[in-house]
Parts: sequence; C-alpha cells; structure tokens
Amino acid sequence: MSAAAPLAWWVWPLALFVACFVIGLIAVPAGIGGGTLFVPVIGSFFPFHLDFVRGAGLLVALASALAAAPVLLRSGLANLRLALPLATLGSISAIGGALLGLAMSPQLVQVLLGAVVLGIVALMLLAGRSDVPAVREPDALARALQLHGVFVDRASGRTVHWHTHHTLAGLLTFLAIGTLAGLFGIGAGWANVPALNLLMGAPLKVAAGSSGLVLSLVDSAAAWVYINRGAVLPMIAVPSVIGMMLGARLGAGLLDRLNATIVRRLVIVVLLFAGSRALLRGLGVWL
Amino acid sequence: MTETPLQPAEQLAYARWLKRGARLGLAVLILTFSAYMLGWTTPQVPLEQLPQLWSLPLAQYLDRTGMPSGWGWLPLALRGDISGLVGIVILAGCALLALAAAAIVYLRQGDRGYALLCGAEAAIIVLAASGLVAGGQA
Repeated sequence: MSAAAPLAWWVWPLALFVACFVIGLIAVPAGIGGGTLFVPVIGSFFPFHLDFVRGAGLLVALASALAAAPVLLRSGLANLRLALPLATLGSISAIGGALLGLAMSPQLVQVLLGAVVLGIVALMLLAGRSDVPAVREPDALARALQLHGVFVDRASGRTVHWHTHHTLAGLLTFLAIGTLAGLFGIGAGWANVPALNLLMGAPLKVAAGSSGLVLSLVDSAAAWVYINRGAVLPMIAVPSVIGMMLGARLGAGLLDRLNATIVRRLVIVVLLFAGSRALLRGLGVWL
Repeated sequence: MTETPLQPAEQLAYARWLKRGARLGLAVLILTFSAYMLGWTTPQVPLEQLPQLWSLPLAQYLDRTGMPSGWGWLPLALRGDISGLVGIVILAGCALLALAAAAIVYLRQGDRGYALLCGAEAAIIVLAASGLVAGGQA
C-alpha cells in the first residue's frame, strides 16, 4: 500500500478503532456478528496483511462472544449442554482451518473469503427463521446428550420448553462451520444460528445465544494457532476489540430506535461490496 | 437479563468463571495497550516502522522484526507491543477455568459423559495453546 506510507503510524489504528466502533454499532441491529463484517471490511480497505486481519478477526469475535456468553447462560438463552458437543467438534476443525489458512497463498484465501462472504449475503437474503420450530420428538442422540432446556421469553412472558432433533447432521455441520471460522478468522454466527434453529430445531433466541457460546470456544482454539504463529499484532487486534465492544454496547442500546430493516440492507450492501472486492483482489482484477 | 433458577448449576458455574476470566483479560488488554500507547513501555518494534511492516506476509514480518513465534514472546512480555499479548492470551484461555468449573459440577451430579466432554474441549484448547499443532517456534 504505497498510499499508506506518508501517513503517521497512528492514523491507521485510529481509523481501525472508528471503523470497528461503527461495525459494532450496526452489527447488533443488523442481526449479524461483528466478526462477520470485520475480516471482509478491514481486509479490503485497510493496509494490513490478511494474516494479521484474520488473527484480529478471531479475537474480535472471541471478545464479543465472551462478553455476551455469561449473561446469555444465566438467562437460559445459551445452553451449555447444547453448545459443548458442537463446540468440541467445531474446535477441532477450527484448528485445522486455521492451519490451512496460514498455509494457503493470500490470493487463494482472498478468493475463498470473497466467495464465502457472497454466500453469507445469499444466506441473509434467502434463509428463513423460525421463532420456536416444531420438534415433535428428540432423536436418540439428542436424548442421550439431554439436549433440552427452558427459558422465559421476555417478549411474550411465556416459559418456553424446547428440545432438538437432527443431532448427527448438526454435529457434522458444526465440523464444517469450525473449519470456515478458523480458515478466515470470521465470526460464524451467520452459519451457527441457521444450523441450530432450522436444522436442529432450537428456538431462535436459544440458537442465537448458544451460537455465541459455541463461538467463544471454537474461536479460543483457533485464536491460539494465530497467536503461536505470531499472527496477532496487538496494534491491530486491541483497537479492533475495544472499538467493536464499545460500538456493540451502544448498538444494543439503539436497538429499539434504529430501523433494523434499513441497517440490515446497509450491511448486505457493505458485505456485497467487500465480498466482491476480496474476490476480485484475489483474482488480481482489482488490487 | 437476570439469573433465573431454571438454569442448571453447571451452566451457572460456567457463566460465573467465564465472566471473571473475560473481565480480567479485557482489563489487562486495556492497561497494557494504554501503557504502550502512552510510551510508558519500550516496544520491540518502533511504532514509526509499523506502517512498513504490517502489510507484509507473516513470514516476512517475523523475519524483518525478529519477533518470536510460539511462546517465545513470554520473556519479552514487558516490551510495549508484546505486553498486549498477555491480555489476549487470558481471553483466549479463560474458557479453561469455566470448563473446569462445569466439569466439577457434572462430576458431582454423576454425569461423567459431560464431564469428559468438558475435559476434551479443555484438552483441545490446551493442545492449541501449546503450539504443538501450530508449529510455533519458541
């Protein structure tokens, strides 16, 4: 990035902090994890090498998940029994994904990242959601693992009892999701929530809460690979983490005031642009 | 959101320890980074050189800066830029305490399967942290 050379060193970390604050601000109303936006946006528009951006991306997703998980666990919106088997498989594959990502050429990672980000856009546009899916009976594996729970839905005041099904398919899906999380350093809430909600039949709120808990474990495992390889630069990671957390806190407070549909459309446009840029950059078309 | 008595004991124990670890990690992260930014600690890589270095691929960056990989940073943890890793390592490892707390509750309840699962997840994180699977050089 020759254009970056004349700027003072502090300009980029400051710009990174502001960008992450804005990402955190819009991520909550858009219903998407800040980590999902971080890697495509920062990787496309900042001068940092993608290796460092992915390392910071994992830490951003991890810190956000760690901040939210205790609250969600206490309220029953995250379920430890549900998250543990999925996270264990996801952690194994995330380590594999991280090793794979650091061994690949940056061009190939850019192309794959662009394809995945455009896939996320398609998922955001097309995937349905079900508040409390109808699960007639838990399957044998769900019964053995006791994958059930209860929470009080504050919106309706109802106490919701739930259980899951399609457990084996869910476990295998989380193996694939873990690989993507490690490979791209990208928060995987966009994949976790539909897998838990639409495939395994967990209520949407439990799916969203447990997704964060799974992320906190999967990203822990993958983050170590980046830390041990020296791919975590505090100058990139720390302003990102702090900016994102401050923005997310404010974004959660603005949830009632912002028009979620407009914010979601804005995020889709940003992801479309960042995904296309990553893809074209990897192909050497738009450097 | 308030704690409800509906939630199982192991879940509440896990939440308690995760919260403590995450808070400690964030506090250390902010303190060490503030000291680095305010110039209270001497960095391994001068701040002015960073814009020429952070756009390099990882291998070239490590080669040019002499930054260690693996746990080799630990003896240099008082250096401004490297001290930020202390908070990061606490954040990346704080699930271990929470898993241990949950495993103890599971064992008390006689649920060996889930205690084992907590142990397996902790073992995966420890293995990743050890650098054995990352190929890090201390």
